[in-house]
Amino acid sequence: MKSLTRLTQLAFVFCGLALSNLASANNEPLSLSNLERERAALVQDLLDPSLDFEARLVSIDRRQRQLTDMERMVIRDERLLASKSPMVKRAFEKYELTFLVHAGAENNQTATAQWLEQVNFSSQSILRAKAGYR
Amino acid sequence: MQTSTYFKPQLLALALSLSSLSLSAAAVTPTGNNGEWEPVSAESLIELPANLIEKRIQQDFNMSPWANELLQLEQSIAQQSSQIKALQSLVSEAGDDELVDEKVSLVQLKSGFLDAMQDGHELRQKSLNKKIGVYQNVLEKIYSASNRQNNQAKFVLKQQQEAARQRMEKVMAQVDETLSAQGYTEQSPYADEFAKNLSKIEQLKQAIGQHQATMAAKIDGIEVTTDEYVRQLLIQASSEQSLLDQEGLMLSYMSKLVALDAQALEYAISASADEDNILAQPMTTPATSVDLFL
Repeated sequence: MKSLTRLTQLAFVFCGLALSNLASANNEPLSLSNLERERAALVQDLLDPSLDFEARLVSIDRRQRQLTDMERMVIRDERLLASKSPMVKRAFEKYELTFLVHAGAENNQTATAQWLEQVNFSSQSILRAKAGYR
Repeated sequence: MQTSTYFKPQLLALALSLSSLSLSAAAVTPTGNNGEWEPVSAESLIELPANLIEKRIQQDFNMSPWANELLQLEQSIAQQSSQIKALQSLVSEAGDDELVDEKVSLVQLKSGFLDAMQDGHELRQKSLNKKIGVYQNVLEKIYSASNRQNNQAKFVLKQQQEAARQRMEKVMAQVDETLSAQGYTEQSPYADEFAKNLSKIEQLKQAIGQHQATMAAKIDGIEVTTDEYVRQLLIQASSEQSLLDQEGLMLSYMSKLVALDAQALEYAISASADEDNILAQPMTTPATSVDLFL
């Protein structure tokens, strides 16, 4: 009987440890920071004038694959719930801008097209743009 | 005369025992400061699965001095009940003036029986009131915890993440198809490991869900939330209370009957005493003594 009680206590201690690990281990939203960095890299590749069409396409495909995993990690990451960072709040408030691959898929478009749409870039506005000094 | 003096102590005892038969009085069996039942706190109950709340309170009560007292009262009631039955069968055939001694004992026994019943009734009432108090506290805590949670930023974030998860799951297959069309035919190490772990996690969750200790609370075979279950417990307690009220009324009627029995017996004893009283006999008058001189 005594050993049963000890086992029960042990089970609760393990549950408690697992939960407290989730809650307090890392208040830094690591998965989201990784996603943000990867998203920035995608946008950088999209706008990088040094890349030719082929290289840009290959690089963007690779980034999109990375982003796919990153987005899934963030959406499943329960550690984020314990974070008080405004970055986390903003990320989920702006789903269309944060989760470019999956939000784009809803509209049958690529992650880059999704980003361009979200920041109000269109082919016409790009064609109208002029190079010059600010 | 003899009968009268013989019954005097018995009448006194009868009067004393009947005076203790006051149903409205709050004279509960003394439990003392340490003899009270202090139910388990609502804070600890709220942590339990809903279906264990009632069992935990009952278990707590069973270990309390009140439960012990109820048990003792029950034993005493059963003993007195058999004594009453035995005496009743003895005096049932007796005439008004016969077996008066046994009749007085019977009334005394009935009075003692009702005292014990009344004590048990009040104990049950008190424990039920405590139980209701605990259920109400649990319900209040559930509501306030739920309100607090709903207002927290964490709750909002959780809802947003859940909504994001649902949106993502709708297009996951589409995204994977697009990736494989781009030449990424193999899943990434993360996706691969995640899928493997996910199936194991689902199995574990299923085992936990089916475990007896974590079975969801059910009412009439339908799974219900904790607050609904506690509300049901309160309804059940309220019906128990109304039944206890009815039992209280029955006890008061029973005590009225015992009081009437005692009164009738007292009249019978007084009448019998009057018969034996020498002063109550017809006095010798000159008219009745005339024969002596003729």
